[in-house]
Amino acid sequence: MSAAARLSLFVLIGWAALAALAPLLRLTPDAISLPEIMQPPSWASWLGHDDLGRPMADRLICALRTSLLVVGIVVPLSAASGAAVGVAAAWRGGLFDACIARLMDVFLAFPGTLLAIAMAGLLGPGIGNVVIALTAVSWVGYARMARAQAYAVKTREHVHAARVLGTPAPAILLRHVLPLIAAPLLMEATLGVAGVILAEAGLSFLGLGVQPPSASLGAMLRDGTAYMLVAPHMVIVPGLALLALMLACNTLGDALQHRLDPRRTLSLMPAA
Amino acid sequence: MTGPLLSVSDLRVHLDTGGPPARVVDGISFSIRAGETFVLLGESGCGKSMTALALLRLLPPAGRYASGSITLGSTDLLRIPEQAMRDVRGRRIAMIFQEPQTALNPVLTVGAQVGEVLARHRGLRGAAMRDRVVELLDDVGIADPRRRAEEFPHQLSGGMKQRVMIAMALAGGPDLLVADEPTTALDVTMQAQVLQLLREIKERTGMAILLITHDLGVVAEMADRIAVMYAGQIVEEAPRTEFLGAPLHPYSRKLFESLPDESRRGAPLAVIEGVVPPLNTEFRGCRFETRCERRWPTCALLPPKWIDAGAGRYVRCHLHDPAMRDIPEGVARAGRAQTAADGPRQKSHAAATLIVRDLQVHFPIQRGILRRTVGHVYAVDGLTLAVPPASTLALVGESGCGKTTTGKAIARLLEATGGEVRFDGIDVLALRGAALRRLRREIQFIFQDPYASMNPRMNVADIVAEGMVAQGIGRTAAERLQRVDSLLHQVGLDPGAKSRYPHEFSGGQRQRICIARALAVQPRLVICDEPTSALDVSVQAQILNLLRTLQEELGLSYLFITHNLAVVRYLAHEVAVMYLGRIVERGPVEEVMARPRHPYTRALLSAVPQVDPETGRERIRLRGELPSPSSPPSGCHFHPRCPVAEPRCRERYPAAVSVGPDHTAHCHLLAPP
Repeated sequence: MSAAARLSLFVLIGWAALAALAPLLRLTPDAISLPEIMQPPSWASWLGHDDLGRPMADRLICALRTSLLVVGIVVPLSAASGAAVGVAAAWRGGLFDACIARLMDVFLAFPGTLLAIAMAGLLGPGIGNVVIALTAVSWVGYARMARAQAYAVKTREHVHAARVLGTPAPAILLRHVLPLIAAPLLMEATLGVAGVILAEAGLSFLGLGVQPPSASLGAMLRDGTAYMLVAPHMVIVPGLALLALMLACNTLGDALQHRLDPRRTLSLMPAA
Repeated sequence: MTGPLLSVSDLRVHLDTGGPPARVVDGISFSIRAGETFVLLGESGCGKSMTALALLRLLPPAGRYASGSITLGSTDLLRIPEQAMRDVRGRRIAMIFQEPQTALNPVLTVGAQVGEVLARHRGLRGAAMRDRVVELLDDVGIADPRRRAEEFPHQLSGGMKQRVMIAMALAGGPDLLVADEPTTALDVTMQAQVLQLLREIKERTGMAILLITHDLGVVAEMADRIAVMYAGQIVEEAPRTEFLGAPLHPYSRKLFESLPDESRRGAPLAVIEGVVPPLNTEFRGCRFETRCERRWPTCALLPPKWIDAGAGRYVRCHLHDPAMRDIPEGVARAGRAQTAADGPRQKSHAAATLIVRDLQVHFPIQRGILRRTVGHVYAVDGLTLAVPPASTLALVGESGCGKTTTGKAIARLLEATGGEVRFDGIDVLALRGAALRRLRREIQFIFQDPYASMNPRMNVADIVAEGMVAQGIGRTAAERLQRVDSLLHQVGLDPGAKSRYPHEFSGGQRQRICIARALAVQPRLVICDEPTSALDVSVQAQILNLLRTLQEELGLSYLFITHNLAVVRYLAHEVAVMYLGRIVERGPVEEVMARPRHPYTRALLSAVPQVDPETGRERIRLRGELPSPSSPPSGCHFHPRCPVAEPRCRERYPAAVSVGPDHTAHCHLLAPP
């Protein structure tokens, strides 16, 4: 594992730990304090305060917790549902598969963020609706990948062999198809984490996501833009956090891809 | 006599793979004279392909030359700069590969690819180049070369692609052609055409050929001189007649003895025990020692010398070393000359296990957005056969004739579009759901590629037990595990293997695991789809022996799908010859092999390269290739390629004609006038 990948892993673990432990830290993200309005970072408060005098450090940790919550629900949910739909389509084939394929085309024809904005707008703001909107958008990527991979695995002779032995279809899918397509799906999921973080921040930036006073990276950025020239730390702090998370996810995804060796992923088996 | 065209001396190539280097080519020396065909013979992994790549300085990144020299004419190829080497490749030494499929660029026309060589080595441009391309394609026997030059590789058949590869190799006018298993990927009839072409070109141009193969039949057809490779070394070198008459090295002899053949029917084939030793070991004695039946203690201690056995023959074996002659002959162990009588076989046709009547498998061809069906591929089109109990029916034909489709339709891996399949009177095609799953217990399938047919993430115990779980055989996991042990033992594997994974086994061992998996559900019929075609000759013999023993012990019936007629002769009781979706001739194997009546069967039999150098047979060469099963020719499917076709053959499909006891053929010429 390269140094960059190790650093990325460290960043992501730090993010998860910080977000998970937030309730234990006795944070005061909503404590308004007028004397400290827009104070730049100092020794006492090392990330400064925002336009209402709330401590930026506390708000950042809460924002990270929001991202983790959204990622933690959206990624597993969309990966699982996408994989299920994709594998089912590949296995059944025929008209069912044709319908699913067209449905995926429809979803993929829209830019994902735009669709999420439309859905979040339709459902109304709120973190629950953000989760619904993002899941509805991101299952397609997993479904498309799972379908393509399952098609390749389905025609392999070990699947035929299992059928000849009389193994029922659900057992074949669980034992002979899913384990062989898990690796590329996992890779897709790693890159998916970055996408979901960014999408959540985007929706919150537009006011469609987490509602005030709850903190979110997107909402913090939006608040900061109004005071960019007076209090640049209000954009720099959430911006850098977002950047770090993005870079870490992508670097780790690349490392994972490298590890899985494209040739091996294609042939779906360890080199003999 | 002038000096040799190419001489290789003490060439050593090491592959660095972490750990001790693999000595894939370990001190080989040979020379090729102008205009001769020199064959390197050996099983997979013996270093023969690496030798070919080494000659052209095309070693993989991990490979390096440890020592030796390669002299072409008067140039030492290992001492010239890469720039100069580029003028040698294609211009003086050309190469053709095993898979014409992957050796051609799919996005360039074949004409452009041949032209590239001409531009590089002959400096031809424009119209002159195009004319030469057409000329070359014509030379290699491609019909309508002007049109074919404009086509892309996917529009050509395998045989034609190999011809294009040969045309590319000839374009530079090389002195030496290196052919690495040029016909392994082709059918017998195509193989015969390509070998014939190579012989003609050699005679016409005086070019030398270095032919790399594992097929003794090809050796007999082509070779002037032969070198046998084993574990990175040449163990024997001899002129053709001497080698085919009586090979000297125990390994070469074993290769001959393990060939399945009619004369060995009833007897188990000789097998070479064990596997080729890993090449990163440090060898002290003879490399073949552990697998040799004629070894003596010396063999493990001293490496054998390269011994001149007279008449141009050389061998690397202590047995032929005059200095070792005083070793008593009794030390050499006798071969396993055990002979078993042909297994008892019930000849009751009435109670055939499997009866297939008029089976049809048609695949629709769909076009356009609306996926309208514009035609059908008639993969199997009215096929009738019967497999008697406890015997073997071989289904023979070229690739693309529908034999695998037939097997899969019978095993219900594909849906048949018509006809009837009865197993013990049960209508197989009508079964659904649980009833179909119960039938799976009776009919099992063994696939061509044992590795692909096992889930790489499952260990051997789980793989073998899968059918038992699915069929509810064995009440507890412990009971099933016990049965896995006995099954592994039955197929000749150590029960200790059960916690290991498929990639840890050799090809032959993997096929044994697949056989154990099929036997686990106690089937009565096993459909074997080319089970040995991915294996080396010596391993093939082991698997054929195993299948035969199992048939005798368990009373299994086999539907044995193959293109290898030698295997048919050895193993089958009855044979059905398939052409374009239909059976053209069927009968008892002795009958059909000795007195083939259908012209296609005759051509197929005569296309098989024979190891015996003495047979002066007349050869029937088929023109053209298997027509597309989506538009079969009118009348008799075979008439466009048939050497004896008559006008009536074009009009209607011939009915079955009985030409002997249980022997029928579909041919107008056999019908009484």
